[in-house]
Amino acid sequence: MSRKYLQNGQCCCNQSCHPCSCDPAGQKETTVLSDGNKPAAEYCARETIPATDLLPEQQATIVTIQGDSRIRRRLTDLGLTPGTGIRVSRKAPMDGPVEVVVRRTKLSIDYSIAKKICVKSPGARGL
Amino acid sequence: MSGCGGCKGCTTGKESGIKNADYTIALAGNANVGKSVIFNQLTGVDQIIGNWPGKTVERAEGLLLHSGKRIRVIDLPGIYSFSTYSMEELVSRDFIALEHPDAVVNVIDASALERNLFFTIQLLELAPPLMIAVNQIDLAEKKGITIDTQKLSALLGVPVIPTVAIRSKGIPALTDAITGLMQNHPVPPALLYGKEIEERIRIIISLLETVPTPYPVRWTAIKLLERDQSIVELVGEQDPGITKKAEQLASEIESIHGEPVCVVMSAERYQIADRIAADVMTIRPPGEGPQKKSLTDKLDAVALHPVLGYLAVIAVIGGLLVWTFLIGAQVSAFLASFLSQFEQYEPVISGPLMDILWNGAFTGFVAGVTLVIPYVLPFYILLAVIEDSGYLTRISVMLDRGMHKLGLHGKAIIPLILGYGCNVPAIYSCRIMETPKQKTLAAFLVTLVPCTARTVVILGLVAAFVNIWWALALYAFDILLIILVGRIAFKAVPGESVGLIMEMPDYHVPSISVVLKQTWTRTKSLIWIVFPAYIIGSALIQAFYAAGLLTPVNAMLAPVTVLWLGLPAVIGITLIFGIVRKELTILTLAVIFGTTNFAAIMSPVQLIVLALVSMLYIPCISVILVLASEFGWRKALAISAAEIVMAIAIGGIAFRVLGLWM
Repeated sequence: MSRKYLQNGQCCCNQSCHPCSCDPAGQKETTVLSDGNKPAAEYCARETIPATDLLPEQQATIVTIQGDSRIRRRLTDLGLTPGTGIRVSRKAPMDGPVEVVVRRTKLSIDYSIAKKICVKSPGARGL
Repeated sequence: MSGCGGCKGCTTGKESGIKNADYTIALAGNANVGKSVIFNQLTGVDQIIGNWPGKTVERAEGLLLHSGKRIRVIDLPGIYSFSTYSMEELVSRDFIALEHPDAVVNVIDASALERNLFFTIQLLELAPPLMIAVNQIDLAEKKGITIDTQKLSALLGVPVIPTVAIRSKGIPALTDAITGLMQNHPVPPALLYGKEIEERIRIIISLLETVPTPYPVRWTAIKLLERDQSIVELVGEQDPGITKKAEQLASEIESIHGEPVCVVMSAERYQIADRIAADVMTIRPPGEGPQKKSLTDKLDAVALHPVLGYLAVIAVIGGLLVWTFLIGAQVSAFLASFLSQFEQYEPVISGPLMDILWNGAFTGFVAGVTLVIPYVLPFYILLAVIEDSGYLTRISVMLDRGMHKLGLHGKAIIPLILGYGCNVPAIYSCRIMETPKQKTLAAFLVTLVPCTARTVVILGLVAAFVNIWWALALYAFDILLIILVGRIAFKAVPGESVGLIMEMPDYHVPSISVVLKQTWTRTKSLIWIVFPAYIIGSALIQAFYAAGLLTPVNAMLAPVTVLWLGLPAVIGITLIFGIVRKELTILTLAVIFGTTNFAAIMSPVQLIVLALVSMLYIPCISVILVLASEFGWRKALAISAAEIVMAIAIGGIAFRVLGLWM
């Protein structure tokens, strides 16, 4: 089965998984809490930036979300669909949770999850 | 009268508390939109209310009597979709699809219309007799949002009622609309997706004609297209050809949109939700001049401040404990002096059996009054204030980083704080955690949190007869122990951990009536458990005493209690009774010695060691039962055994170390 639809050549979880099967048994992605070492930029393709790079109050648009498919699904269910406006309202120090506003609701999101939310923002990083 | 409404209440609900209901209705919707408030308004039952998402974990049931009909009302847990396979989602989806309630009331938050409609759209797919309560319209209006509920009703094809549940506004209209649904059972119209998706749904529907499932056929088709695992299995068993075709159609959608099919479907639903919201919602543009900051923004500037935020957490949690101690000590001292005359009684160990039992029972009653009321009431009042304000979620955010070290995330702080009241509801609330590992870890740590029962032991032994600082030191030691044990358990328990994703509710000014009701509901349920336990427990120990059974038990336990922990031999039996309720350790001690002046029978070191051991040695019976029902007996017994070993080890070390300078 073709997996070419995935952007940036990245698979949503691992090679064997259905990106959308949301199959709790089939996926063995390891701890999402403690991969703080990987630079955020690695998750997002060149024309996008991670939501964690947004400045407070900077407006942006969600392009895609990377990472574990269940987490993607939860974020999507909470309204973080591609094309939706997003704004960072508060960032905790030391890579603490990032507070974002999407569709007039406020969510606190773990830093390592938020950096896999790839956004486009006019005026940011040479765009 | 419709169908077989009369038998639903008595045949399907396996945990049904309400018998002979004429109708069954369910409240469904996102977390923290006011479902429980509406539930309380409809049924008069005092379901606990709190301003944090995920509070209703068990579905609650109540009875509504309306125009001579008995209506069973179910408050389903708050969820955002039917797709992530959490327990709460499966429970809600199967309840609505399989138990065929006579009406489903979708409670939605007027301030977050799109996200709430996203869930409404999924409810519509399940096709129950549906209506909508647009709640908290007053708060939305304060934010400049007005919603045309009539237009919303026309667009969705279901009744829509505006409500302000906390002030009972709209409840009569809601009840009338529910009655209408129950009698007519209208099937709501389906909302259509984009063309390329609808075409494929139709193909699957046509294939499904020969395959019976208990779910609505359109819903089954959509779920097959979304690769919903349980539905794929259900249909695949009967006709693998259909699932294969659905899989092919899903791949086609993915190649059209360049995103996984589940993301495509969610985005489609959000498109419908956005379109409807844009049609029915007017947002007043912000006025001229500088923007006024909302109360939530102002408070969050402090509560989530990198420095002040931590001070606020310490002040609030510390304040909660200090408040409980100060108020509790005052009231307890007053009650104790008032009831002191009763302490003159020697335990009755001879004479008619009834006298023995009566004397024990009476001692238990007195202990209940002097020990529980003073500490439990003030704690629950302040906890209700904190819960209702919305501050708990801010503590979660502030402590999120720290909780990572324990394999948890910020949300886990909510069960831990609730644990200071009673571990039982705290363990239920561990369901707000996402993975099985995180649920187990959080529940394990909750059992180490000193609940009010253990607070009574610590205060009754240490604060009263050593000093308050040693009591506080025990609390501080307990927190360090939780961190240490959490760290070890994180490494030892297999499974995965995921990070925080939490909705941040606006603050409210806590409502006095909600706070009082909540305190009463919690205290009441405690009294129902505690007083019988105390009365039966002390009557039993009196009977044991009279029958001469204490000595052999104590002798058997002496190697641990006397030799290792350095405690009087009589402690053996009290620790056994303490498994029922932790306060029974000091209660039985008082019954046996006929005094609550424990300084007369134990040295300060012994008092501290006993309090320490009582705090840690095993969860009480209610907690063990809840652990077993949530996680299975194997884990419940493993946690109990680990804590017995740990308590004995720490107690023996404390006895030797403290002995050096006390």
